[in-house]
Amino acid sequence: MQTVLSDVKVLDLTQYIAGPYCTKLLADYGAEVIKIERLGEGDGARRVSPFFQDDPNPEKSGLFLHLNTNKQSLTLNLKTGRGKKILLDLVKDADILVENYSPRVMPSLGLDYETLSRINPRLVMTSISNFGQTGPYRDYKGMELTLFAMGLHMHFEGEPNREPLKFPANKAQYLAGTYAATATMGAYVGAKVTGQGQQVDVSIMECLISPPEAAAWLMAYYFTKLETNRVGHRREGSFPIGVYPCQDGYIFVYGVVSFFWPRIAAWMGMPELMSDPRFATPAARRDHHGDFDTIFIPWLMEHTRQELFHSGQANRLPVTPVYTIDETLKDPQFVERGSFTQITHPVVGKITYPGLPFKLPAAPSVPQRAAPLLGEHNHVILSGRLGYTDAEIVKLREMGVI
Amino acid sequence: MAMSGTQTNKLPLEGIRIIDHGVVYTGTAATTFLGDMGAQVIRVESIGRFPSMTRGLVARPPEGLMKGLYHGYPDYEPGARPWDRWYQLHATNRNKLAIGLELDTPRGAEVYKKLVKISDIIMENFSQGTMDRMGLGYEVLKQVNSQIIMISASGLGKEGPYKGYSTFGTNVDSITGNMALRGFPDDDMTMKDCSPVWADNVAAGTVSFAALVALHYRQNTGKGQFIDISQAENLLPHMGESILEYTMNRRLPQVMGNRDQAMAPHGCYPCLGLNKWVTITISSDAEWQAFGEAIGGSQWTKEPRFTTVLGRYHHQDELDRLISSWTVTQDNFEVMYILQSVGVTAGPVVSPSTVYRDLHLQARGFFKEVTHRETGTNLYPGMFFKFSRTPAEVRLPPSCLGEHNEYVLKDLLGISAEEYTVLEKDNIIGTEYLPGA
Repeated sequence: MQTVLSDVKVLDLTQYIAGPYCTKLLADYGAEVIKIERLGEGDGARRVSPFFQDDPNPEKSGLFLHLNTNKQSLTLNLKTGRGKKILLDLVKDADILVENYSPRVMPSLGLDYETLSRINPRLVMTSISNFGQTGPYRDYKGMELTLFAMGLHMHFEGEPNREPLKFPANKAQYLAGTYAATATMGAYVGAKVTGQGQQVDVSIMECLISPPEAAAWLMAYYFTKLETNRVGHRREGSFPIGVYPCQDGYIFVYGVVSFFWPRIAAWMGMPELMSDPRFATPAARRDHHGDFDTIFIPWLMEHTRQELFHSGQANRLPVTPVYTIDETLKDPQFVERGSFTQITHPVVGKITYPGLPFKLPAAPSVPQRAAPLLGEHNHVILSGRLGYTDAEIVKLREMGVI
Repeated sequence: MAMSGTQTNKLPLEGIRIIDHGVVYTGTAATTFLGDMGAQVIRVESIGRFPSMTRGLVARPPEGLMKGLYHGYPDYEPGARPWDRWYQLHATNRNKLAIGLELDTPRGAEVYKKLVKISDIIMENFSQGTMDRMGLGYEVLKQVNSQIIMISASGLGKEGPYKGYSTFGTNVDSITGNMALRGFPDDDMTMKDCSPVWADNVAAGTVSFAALVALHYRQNTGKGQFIDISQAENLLPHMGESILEYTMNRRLPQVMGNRDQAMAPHGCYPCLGLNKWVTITISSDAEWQAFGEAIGGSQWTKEPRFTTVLGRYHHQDELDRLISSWTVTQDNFEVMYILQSVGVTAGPVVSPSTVYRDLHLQARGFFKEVTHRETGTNLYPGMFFKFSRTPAEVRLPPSCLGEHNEYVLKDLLGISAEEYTVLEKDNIIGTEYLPGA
């Protein structure tokens, strides 16, 4: 059955987050993704929490399970001649290779793009790294926090009177994985036409300072030389904006543009606000933020989150409930659209995962498979793809190659 | 098929034509990425209805407002064509053509359908239902071009119980549970910052990826399709480990601020100068030792309570205070140079001015000098990827409204000079916003 990417063969030399998310996107839409894992320990994400039932077993990491759905695992010692030969044999008929080692590693293994493209000129090789394959920061270390700081977004997140703040979890690395998937597919679509692959250098830092949001901050600065700062949760004079309490929780209102003001008054059922001198014009409203709160919050407290959500939306206002994850999982919009999916794994059983980022209605859907056990597909790849005999595979195992 | 040398060096997406109805961030950036890779992207924009936060906040800012409100225009000056000078346009619209065309007029729709006929992809992120209301929904357009790929991006998705609901990027944070995880651990829920619109960055990458995946499928099968993209749905996988923490263990993830579950110290510290900060993360005891030596071997860095990760973890408040006492005497870039040279992870919180001065980005040629009819020559943030064989360049500066009306209508669509003049006279096409827009 031809699924969306079922004719695309991917070699995956990635670990942790940015690289694996890039190849997960390809795998989840049907590409054949062979993940090469280090002998013995595998992807470092296998040792990162959260763990199923808090048991730090390399097959129970939620991070790994999420990021490696629909992939095959082949353990390989790339520092042995035979291990390298297996990889090079797989390169011969691969379309795409993705790696996110630090930039020195692939060349030091003799697996630089020049070498690989001689074996397979069609190959698209995507290298994802913190700061890119060139430049003075090339070999610098970067954690999520570092990347968020050096990627500009942290300068704008948080309160003006406190230290800047990173986003929760690992958003910078996921963003880079998504962007890298776009660049990889773009290069691949071109390579299919011309028969010529190329190397794709993706820097996580550069993903963060690219369009849309960061590029807009940069452009605004360049045009005006005005260095702006964090505005924080309370944008003085601009309201209603932010998270507000209500009867049974919190709602989020983003009333950022002035033409929303009549809709706000209509939503609250208080048309008199329109003629109130404190709120009648944008200039007057700037000076009466506190006054508005003393009217708005008591009104919100008389209503539930769901009432406010739907009545706000009926007035064409961007009002949404503030959920915790357990509530998001039950929300009718996500349930009806199938935004989450259940996948059964041999060790952790049936678990709910985030589903596909989008569905492609014209294509047969790809059955979603759980992340592989370490080395789960050694035999099928070596014997099925490369024609090794059982005896040879046993020997490779004994020699510490697989 | 034989290929000459020049042909094989053509950009990967050369020959692909994309209609871009992008507004604000998501749609405009997604098509920029595809334009960077060689697609011919044509922005189709109304001249009767102004897209707020795309080409300005209003078409013609009224005189007499405070200068500060003009922060989006070069030198705070809206000029004669403010919509061609606004920063958001310039940030996210290189490598595109632009036409000004009224879609919700019968003759405008007729021109539009001619363009759809010769295009591959339509990308729109209007408020929901806009295309349908104009009679230009997918069901109509696929009669015009059966292979068309149409992507509609919205906060919560076009279909489902919340069909038609309106959102901005930060609403997506609130309904996915991401907003509840933002902030410092001691903040209450009403203190969540809501300015940065991260979900738009995520969606820009998702939309461009979806376009390419659908294009690949169409090249294999001849099938186009309609793709209903929900920003919320594509933010959820970016929260994967947080969601699995709940679905595996029925436990909600904690708000962490700048801290980490396994590393300490792991924070953001004040440096010399106003609003200057550096981040430092220590992932092993060896790194801690290297850190202590690099900053001069102060007595506190040798204290036994800090020598193990568990010790450091349990004394983080004290540790952060002591580290700050050193960083506050240092330049934030210097801290990076000092610590990275001994293998300790550190990086400054950069701001727009320091990004423009950054030596690494300069060495990599990240910024591009672009000359534009209405704004002159400026430095623009460049591409997030580098292709080795077909490098992406700025082939076209951000397009002025209606700048390519003649080329698109006459050369691409074969509309006669007489008809073109009539369309212009009747305000079906134009290069300026109509009064009242």
